[in-house]
Amino acid sequence: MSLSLKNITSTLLLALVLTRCKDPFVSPYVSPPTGYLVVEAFITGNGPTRVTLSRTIPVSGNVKPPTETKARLQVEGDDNSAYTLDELGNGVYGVDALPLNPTVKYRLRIHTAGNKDYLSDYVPFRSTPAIDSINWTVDNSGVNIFANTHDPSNNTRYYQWQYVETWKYTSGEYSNGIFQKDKPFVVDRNPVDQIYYCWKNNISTSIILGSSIKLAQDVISRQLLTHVSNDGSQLSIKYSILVTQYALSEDAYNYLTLMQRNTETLGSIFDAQPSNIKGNVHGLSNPAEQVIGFISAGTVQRQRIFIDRSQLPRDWRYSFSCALPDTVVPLDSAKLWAFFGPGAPFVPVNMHFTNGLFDGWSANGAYCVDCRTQGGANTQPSFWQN
Amino acid sequence: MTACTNNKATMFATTPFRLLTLILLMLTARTALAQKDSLVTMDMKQARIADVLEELEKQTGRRFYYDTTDFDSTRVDVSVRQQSFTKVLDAIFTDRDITYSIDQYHRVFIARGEAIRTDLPLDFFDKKDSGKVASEREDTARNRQEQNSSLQVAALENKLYTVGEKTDGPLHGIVNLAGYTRDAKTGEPVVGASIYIENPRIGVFSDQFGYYSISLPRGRHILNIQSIGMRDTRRLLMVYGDGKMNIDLRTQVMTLKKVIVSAEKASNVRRTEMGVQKIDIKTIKQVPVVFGEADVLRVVMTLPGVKTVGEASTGLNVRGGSADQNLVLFNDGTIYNTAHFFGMFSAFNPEVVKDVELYKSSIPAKYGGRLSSVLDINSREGNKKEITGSAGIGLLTSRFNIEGPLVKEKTSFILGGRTTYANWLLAHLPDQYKNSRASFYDVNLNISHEINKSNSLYFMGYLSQDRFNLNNDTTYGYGNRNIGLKWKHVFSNKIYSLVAAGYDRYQYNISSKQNPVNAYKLGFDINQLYLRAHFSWFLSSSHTLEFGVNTLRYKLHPGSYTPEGKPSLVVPDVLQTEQALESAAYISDRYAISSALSLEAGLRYSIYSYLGPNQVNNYAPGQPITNDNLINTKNYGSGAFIKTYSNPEYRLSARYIITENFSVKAGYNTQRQYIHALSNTTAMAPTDIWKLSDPNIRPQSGDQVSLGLYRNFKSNTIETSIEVYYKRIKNFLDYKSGAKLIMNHHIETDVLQTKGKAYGVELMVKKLTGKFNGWLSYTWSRTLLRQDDPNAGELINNGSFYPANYDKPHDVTVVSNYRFSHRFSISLNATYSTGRPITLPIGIFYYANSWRTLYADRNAYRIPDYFRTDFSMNIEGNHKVHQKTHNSWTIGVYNLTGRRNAYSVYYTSENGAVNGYKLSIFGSAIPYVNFNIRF
Repeated sequence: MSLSLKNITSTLLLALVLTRCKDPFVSPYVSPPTGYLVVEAFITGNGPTRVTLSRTIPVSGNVKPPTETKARLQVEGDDNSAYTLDELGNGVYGVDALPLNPTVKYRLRIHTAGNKDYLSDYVPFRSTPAIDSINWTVDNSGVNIFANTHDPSNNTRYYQWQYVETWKYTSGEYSNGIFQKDKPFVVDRNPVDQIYYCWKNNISTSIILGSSIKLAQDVISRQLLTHVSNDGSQLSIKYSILVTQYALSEDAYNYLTLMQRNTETLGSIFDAQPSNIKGNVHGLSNPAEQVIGFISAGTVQRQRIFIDRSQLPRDWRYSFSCALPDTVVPLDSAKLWAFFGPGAPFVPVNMHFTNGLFDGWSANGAYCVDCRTQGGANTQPSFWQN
Repeated sequence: MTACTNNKATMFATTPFRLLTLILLMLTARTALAQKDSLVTMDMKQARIADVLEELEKQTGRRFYYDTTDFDSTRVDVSVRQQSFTKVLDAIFTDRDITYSIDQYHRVFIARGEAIRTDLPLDFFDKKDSGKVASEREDTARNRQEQNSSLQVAALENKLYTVGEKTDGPLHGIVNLAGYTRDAKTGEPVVGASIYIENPRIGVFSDQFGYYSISLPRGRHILNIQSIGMRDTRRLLMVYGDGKMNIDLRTQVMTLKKVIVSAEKASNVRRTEMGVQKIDIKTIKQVPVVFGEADVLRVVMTLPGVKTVGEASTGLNVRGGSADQNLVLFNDGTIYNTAHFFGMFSAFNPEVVKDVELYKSSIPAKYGGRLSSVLDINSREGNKKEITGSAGIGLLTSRFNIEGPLVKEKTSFILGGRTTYANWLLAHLPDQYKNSRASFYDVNLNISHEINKSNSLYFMGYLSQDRFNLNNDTTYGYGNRNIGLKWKHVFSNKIYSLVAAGYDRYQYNISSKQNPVNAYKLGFDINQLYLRAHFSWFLSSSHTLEFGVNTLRYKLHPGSYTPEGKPSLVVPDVLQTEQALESAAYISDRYAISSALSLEAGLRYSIYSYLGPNQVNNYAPGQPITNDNLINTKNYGSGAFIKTYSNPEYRLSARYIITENFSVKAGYNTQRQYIHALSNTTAMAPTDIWKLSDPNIRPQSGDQVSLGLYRNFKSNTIETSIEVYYKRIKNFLDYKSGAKLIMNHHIETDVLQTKGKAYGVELMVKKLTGKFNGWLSYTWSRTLLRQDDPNAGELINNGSFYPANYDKPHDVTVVSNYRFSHRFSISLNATYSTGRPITLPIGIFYYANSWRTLYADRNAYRIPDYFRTDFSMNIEGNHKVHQKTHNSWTIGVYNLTGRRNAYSVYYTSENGAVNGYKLSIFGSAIPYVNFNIRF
């Protein structure tokens, strides 16, 4: 009996492990046409202002958002000031610096190419307090990164963060040769053309919000920004994160909270149901028209930190490995062209010698040799500290 | 005469001798010899019974039939002179537990214990003949009469009981007989037993205490008593005047091949109320459920008209009502949260529960305060005769109970407890759930005490606690606490009263300590004190009055947010305490206009007052309730009546019996509800808040009309019914888009009062006896809500009707059980329902570096349909009566087909992209095993 009970137990265990399973779901329903205007803007007093205009699309495809071009945009203050934004392409409009006044309320006016007018509510200009620190802790699976800030005047209360991660990583093998169009087709590679070290960026895709409204002081302590996994290349050499902090109004905070709840739910048993959200941009031609987005105005604060491999546990040993052995490509023009020429999938690694005689290039697939194939760029960013 | 505890009683085919008797009876075609009783003269000392009977045979010429082994050791003294032979037998056998009976052929049957029946039982061939047999048998049964000097316990079927002072004159008029129906073995009351006479047809049901009161014409009657799970029995009565009689019933020993012919078990045809479903724990226990622990609420969910949003919820949606519109009473205490362990278990320990009654249409006038239904869960009173108990072990939970007399026959207790040990299991889950913890326990204690014949006291206590965290540092805890005392006083046969007082509490708290700066504790609780006085007056055979008053004092702490630990910077934030008084007076009359037509009419008048101290926000009249329209805030002092709502509620139902097996019923009722649960989650979450009606939030109200046809087949072993209903709901509380429900100082600005309508058809086919038993239910129903008042703030779905979360039009459930033997049965469940409505995105947009979903109309789409089958085997240990313990195993598989039923469908933005997922609570078949032991 004990044996069979044990079997049943383990079956049950297995069952529970499979329990609460998530399966991909493809809606059998066809999305109705929407095409609502989406406005994302932070009218910035201490840096470039960028406004992105796009449109809502059916659920089916995560394609490039349809950009809204040839619109005319203007930032207006309740002191009758007005600043026109330039079209920067891809639906982005902006200006590098605006002489904004912290005591003035601002709004955004949009005239689309389709001859429709939109206007946001006036929003107060909110100065963002400086980031006190960005710190991090180590856990079993990686690094947690936190923001800390406070406002001594206890005025800010609602915060949002965005970040850009940058990290250095390597390809599998260092390439000493580079293909060129003329004979001998493969020559020594210059250090500036190196493709062993790359830098890759990642922009925060979730809405990170924090509030101190329930606290006696306007203090944000250890606000989790992201978890960096130790099984990717992020922490393999050096990692950097640039955190941007925004002060929000209560309305903006509520709007983003709802957007976060609607769009980033984890599918738990007790998740709240999605609901309709209303931003602060309205159609002037048709007030009932739905417009996505909430305009805010104010200053932003930034801070960058670096995390070096040496600061992390020694047993984290991520390295990009490439199982393919090298191939030797003889110094034959046709072969060199075929292996390394435009569109060919191989990259020269090292000169190959037989009995001390240079007779070819060892080679490997671009994926093993060229770090750019993993999505990064081989030029060191200007802010990088080695 | 005491309660019959003789195990041999009426098992009349169990000994060869008795079988012989039967055969003789059936086969002997001898004509009866007319025999004139000759008088007997005897003088024997210390004689063996056999010798005495031999002598009697000589003197009277009669034949005696008996089992010699019965009387081997008995010695009697007989000294009679010129006495009738029955007098002699009486003299010999009185006080010896020996009985005799004489059949129509003048044969005398002698036995220990109960008298041998000389005829076939009433229902032996067919009930059509029963009247005839009964009238014949009156001449043959022994007519021993007994003065009604003390309360009778009528235990014998063939004895003639005399009720009232014997009079010689003609018997006219109506008198009353009352008493308790009890289980002969445990002394516990038998609820819902049907007690009736055939001619004229008068019948009543015993109430929750087993109490019955029946008005009869004076004279001779056969009182029939039938109850599900009990053996049918009857009593011979000679009624001279009012009297009391307790009736002990025996548990049905399942005879597999016997067809139980029961006229009055057809209570679904005969009851005046409609839309009432009662299930006893035996039935509940044989229905397979996940993890194998019998679950009261899961079984209720198989009934027509009852739905739930999914597996992780014990919230019932009865006829289109939301989960908070059910009054869940556990021994009179209100249970606010019926779920344990993410809704996988219900709050009621199956070892303690006796039965469950669900009122979904005709809600008796004594209940009020909720719109949809009353779920009345009764626990057992405990064995009044001996200490017994049971225990069960499952893979996730264990339970036990112990019960017995504190004072024999007077005071009994039952103590039950349950706990879980699921943490070991959670620890085996993948990393993402690894640090999750979940546990619960509950404890029941009930004591019932019979002070004297007319006074009884009942105490009930219930405590439950749940605690869990889902892989983060936030800990959730919630629990119910209930304590109550009830006093039953019988004024006379016709009137009794119940006075109950108690305290109910529901509380939850959430705390997080991971970040010392933000460490907090969130608390919420509901407290209510109640006092209820109820009177039942059996006015006459055609009128039963019920009346009484209820009062309920609420005290809610709608939220407190406080720091945990010194470094916490959290500012304590406490929402104002809410208080209210809800009182009601009611009266109802069950009026049997004729034997076919009966009517139950009730009126309940409820008065609700929102009490101070409190600060109340006043908003511009006719404008949406928003912060912008706030005019002022008014302070009210302690005890101030801030706002009073009062309203009559009507409860009407009528039944007309068309043929013996076929009736039609109709009902209309109105309901009011003054306390509302606010939730923006699909399932009833432990963190839902409850809100009292106040000047800004009006009470919910609803009314329902229903019509039903009831037809029984195959000698009432198959019950069928079809009911249709239409229901309107007003001021149902829904939330605005983006509502903040927790710690909101002005919650009225975040909610909407909507209208609703629900309608449907419910079909049920039920077979509760025989080898194969179970039921099939089908419901077609719709539940639609609407918010079309532009002044209320926001229109939902442009003011058109939209389906409620639990609107599942088609719902079919089969619950079946097949008994192969007394020791082995299998059960199979199957259920299918339309997927519930869900809000799906209508589009996507790119914002904050990610694709995100765009939502519009609420509940415009549906999740995939639901289908599940469960299977279980119930294996009982041997059935030897006298062994110390009895054990049983339940082995089963939940979700046999392993279908991944969608609990929800959701879209989430991950790494910039939108992905859709279907979440299933159970992704495969779940086997389980449970071991139960009784002692």
